[in-house]
Amino acid sequence: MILQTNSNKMNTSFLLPNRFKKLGYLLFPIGLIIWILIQQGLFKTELNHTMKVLLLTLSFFSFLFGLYFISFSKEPIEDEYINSVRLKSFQISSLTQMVFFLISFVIMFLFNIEPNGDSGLSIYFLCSILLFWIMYLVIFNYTLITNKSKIDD
Amino acid sequence: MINHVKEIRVSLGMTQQELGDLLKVSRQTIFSIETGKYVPSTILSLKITKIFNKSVEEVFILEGKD
Repeated sequence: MILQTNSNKMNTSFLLPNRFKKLGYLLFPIGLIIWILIQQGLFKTELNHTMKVLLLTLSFFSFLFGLYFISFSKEPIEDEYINSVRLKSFQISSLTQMVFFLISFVIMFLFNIEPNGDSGLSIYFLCSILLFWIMYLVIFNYTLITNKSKIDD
Repeated sequence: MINHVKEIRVSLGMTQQELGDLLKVSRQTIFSIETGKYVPSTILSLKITKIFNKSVEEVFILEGKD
């Protein structure tokens, strides 16, 4: 029986090359820090409205693209085990997001709390989306790091 | 499913890294297979048995619950 050498390559066409991960680790914290600083009004006096909106947009997209690059970049060796860890992380993250939705709707119903206007609703949905991606990254990296630390030959 | 990947690999004097390189998978994958945390695909199982020059039944054994 002849086995093809590339027959166990996974279908990872939607994943970015590994070098994007480093770019993600750069963009993610920079975008987040600048966005929080502007939201907290740290540059209130120095910036005019247009500049503030531009910086807010740029920093937020830098944060989102950073998160995307970290989540969707290949590992140095992207094999079937890594793919199974990805799948497990996605499953747990989606379950966590569902629990978050259920608990928050129950709290809103029981205590008659509603998100404060359109911006409150936007922040609520934004948090739920970010919860999914951050959970995914935490579970994926935690699984790989704990597995790596246990390796003995 | 239990497997004898570790015992056979050690008896052949191979490291996890060497086996991983031959199979084009990471050392983590070999470790996960050996510790039973991950059940390899049919393709990877066949590749492992080919490298070890053993039959599938000699390397991988089904348990009652499988």
